[in-house]
Amino acid sequence: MRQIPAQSTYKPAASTSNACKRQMLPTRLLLAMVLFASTFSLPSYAQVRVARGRVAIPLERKLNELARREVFFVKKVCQPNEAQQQVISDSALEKAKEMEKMYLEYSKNRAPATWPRPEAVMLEHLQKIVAATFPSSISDTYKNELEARKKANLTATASIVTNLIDSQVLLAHDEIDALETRIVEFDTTQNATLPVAFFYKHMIPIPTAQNMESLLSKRQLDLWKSQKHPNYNQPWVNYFNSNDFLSSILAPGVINEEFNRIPPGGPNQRLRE
Amino acid sequence: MFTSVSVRTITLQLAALLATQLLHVPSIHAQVVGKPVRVINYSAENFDRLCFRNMVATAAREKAHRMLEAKTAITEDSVNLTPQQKSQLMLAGEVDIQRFFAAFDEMKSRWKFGSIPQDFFSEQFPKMRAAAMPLMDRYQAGLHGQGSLYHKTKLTILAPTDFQTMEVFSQKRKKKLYRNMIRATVAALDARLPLTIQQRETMIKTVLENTEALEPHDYNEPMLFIVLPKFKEVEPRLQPLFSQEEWPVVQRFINLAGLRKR
Repeated sequence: MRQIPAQSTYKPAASTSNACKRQMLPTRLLLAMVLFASTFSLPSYAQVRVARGRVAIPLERKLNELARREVFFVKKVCQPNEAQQQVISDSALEKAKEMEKMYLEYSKNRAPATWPRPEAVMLEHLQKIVAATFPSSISDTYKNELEARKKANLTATASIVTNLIDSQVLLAHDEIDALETRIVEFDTTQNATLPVAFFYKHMIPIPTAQNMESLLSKRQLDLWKSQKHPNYNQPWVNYFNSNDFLSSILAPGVINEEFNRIPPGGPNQRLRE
Repeated sequence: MFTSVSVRTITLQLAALLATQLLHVPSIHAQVVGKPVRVINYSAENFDRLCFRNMVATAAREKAHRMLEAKTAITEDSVNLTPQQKSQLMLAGEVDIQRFFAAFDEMKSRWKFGSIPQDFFSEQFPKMRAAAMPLMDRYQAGLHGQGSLYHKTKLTILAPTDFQTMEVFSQKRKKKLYRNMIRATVAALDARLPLTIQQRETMIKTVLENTEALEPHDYNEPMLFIVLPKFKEVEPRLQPLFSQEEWPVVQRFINLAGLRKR
């Protein structure tokens, strides 16, 4: 085996380090007192403050992206003429602005878990606009497409939950389908945050312990209980958290100058407002 | 007399003290100027976690045992095993686990752990990783698959028809788990580029029917990166499903496979 060289004996002077520590002590004490006070006096606001810091920066960008992506989908499904396209596009962008104000307001006084889902808010709005702009045959097709997308998302979520369970207990092929059908119904699946749930093990919405008991055989349940599972304790990850693998995948029409614009006061301007 | 001797002694002591101080100055400078050797603390546990995707070796071994039990139970679901056949299978599976961890321990014993000078660590780490890679892959693929003693024992002790039944059973399972991964991957694309019913369903069907099913995934790395290379294989078949402006977006999505870490 190769010999390694002797380690260095270099150490910083102890007296200097102690002096620093002595100087830092009152600051640390003060910080600890502030933290203690904030933790025990205002528990709910602490969460909102953290959330506000996280969401305020990409809010405009994310909502615009959502609006333009869904406008693209309306275009794909409904084949609008120029005038119809203009109505849909204006209305979606207007809604995005309205939602921006709404979420900024929520970030001041509501915990993120209680916010309505941005996709749901936007799609509900677009369904109304499409119904008012197009003949019923086209608006029905659009509605069916949205329902199919929602169903596909639920099936996909149930699929990854099933695969995760299988990786720990091994399921027979007929059990795989049976489990999926049941898992789709669970609140954990219905409330899962997509698409992050598809990528991160800790975000896979595993069913509650009680639901697991109804899903698995005794052998499987014993095996399941003997292993570590992802601790899925966040019912809703902030939509505005842009840190995901897919942030570079944008539907056609999403990128334009306005979309990429940074506010004159810098990206934190809205937070300061 | 006494006083002058004392004064001389004190003077000498002072001179000695001064000389000592002067002599110490260069050594202090030497300590500050000399480049300190940076030390990395890399424990055997760190190495285990690298190899077994954030599990220590003991936990990885326990998991292998649990998977052996589960695998035998699922075999029992597809064919009838006598108690003797079951114990033979369990024994063979145990030998597979022993062999794997013996190879792992032998490989691990070649490296130095603990406080290691950074230069040495930088040189050693890529070699350690490269040497561990085949074992990591073997573990992730499962210790009781094809080529294992467990599999060979199954071949020996089961009647050919039972073996065939069990293989069909296992292929069905594999295909359904693969379908699930494809569904979730398509749903991930759907979140960024909304798909129509026809695009979604045809995309899932095309990948499922034209690629070889992956082995069940253990979920310790993002699933997306496992499945996307399969989409790459059928790119020409997928392209007609999308418009000209959509296709570059789909390609960018498929190319995310390149982000996969090893």
